[in-house]
Amino acid sequence: MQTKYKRKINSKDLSQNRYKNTDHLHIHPYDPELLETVRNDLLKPRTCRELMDWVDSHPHYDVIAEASSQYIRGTHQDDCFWQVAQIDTDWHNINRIITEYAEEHELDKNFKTDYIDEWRVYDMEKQKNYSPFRHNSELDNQHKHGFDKHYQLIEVTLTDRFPEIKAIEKVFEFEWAKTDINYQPTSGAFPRHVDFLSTLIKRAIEHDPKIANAQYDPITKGPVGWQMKRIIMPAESWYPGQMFSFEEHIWSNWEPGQAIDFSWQHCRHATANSGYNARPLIKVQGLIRDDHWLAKKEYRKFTI
Amino acid sequence: MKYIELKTSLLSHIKDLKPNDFYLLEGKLIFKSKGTADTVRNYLQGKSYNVVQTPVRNWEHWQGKYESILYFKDLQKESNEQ
Repeated sequence: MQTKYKRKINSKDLSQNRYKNTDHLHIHPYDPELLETVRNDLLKPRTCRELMDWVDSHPHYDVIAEASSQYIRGTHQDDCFWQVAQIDTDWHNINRIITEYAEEHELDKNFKTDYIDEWRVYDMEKQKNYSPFRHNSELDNQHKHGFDKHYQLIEVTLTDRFPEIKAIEKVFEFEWAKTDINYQPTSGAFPRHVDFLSTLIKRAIEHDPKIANAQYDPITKGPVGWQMKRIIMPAESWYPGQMFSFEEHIWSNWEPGQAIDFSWQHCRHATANSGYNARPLIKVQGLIRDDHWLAKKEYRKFTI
Repeated sequence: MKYIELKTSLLSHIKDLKPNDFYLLEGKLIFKSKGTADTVRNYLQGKSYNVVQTPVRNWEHWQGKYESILYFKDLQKESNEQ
């Protein structure tokens, strides 16, 4: 099954190009006036489908992403990332399963984040490597600055390989739940960025006209009436040298099962593995309504 | 607090402040004029915000010139932040 969003490498709408001089592409810090123009453009009313089409075909995803952040420096750490749950389960076994998968697929040895088509949703078997899909202009930007090894993304939801992790996904009671393992081998570094949760919302748009036609909120960066959540939790204890930053705040010394919610919309976050052990992180995302326990910022403990 | 809320509030409370007097750059407010930045800094300090003011490194690839940057330190925790 092909998805609408399994697009070609060169499907960019160059009519949206705002650069008078392309020599200025991917040069940081971005021009403040250009960012303001794009930021105001983002505030225009659009449905979710219109917004995703606009983002997907825009020649400068990296500028859109940067402009989409409304983060104010000085924001309290608890408003950047916060623990929402503790999952008690056999993390030793889960970590063993992930390590075996990594060895079987040589994820540490063949580690390079390159230009590939979307692969995670339906077309697993034909993929030649395990790099996550990125917008071409985002990759251009990252590669230009030397970031060519980010992390390896391992599919969970759409395979039968990880039933133990699917059980974890269920406790969050998400609609359109989508789980991956973000496995960062040593030497991986993913530069600071904000998210659109594109894989999640594109999947919902494709299969649910209500979400496709819902108004897109450029501040919550999701369909009006919904919240999009991305929960991250380590599968193994923190090793010295492993880094995770949210703007000026640092998350460190983590333990398996700490479920962390964060302001993926606005807080620039970055990861690096300068330790000597791979860093497996489970990433569960999905849509919720305002009456969901996560929306109400309730803390929960689960034993699986 | 999001930039759009802050900007709307500053524009409604500070006389003669215009939308194009300042922008957002990596979480900081960047001003074309130091005088305007001074005015905004004084306003925010009057509201008991901890505000830092610094000069600007102007980059060749920018279209405009800027004179001053303001950013907050230690903002209070909000509730139900997205």
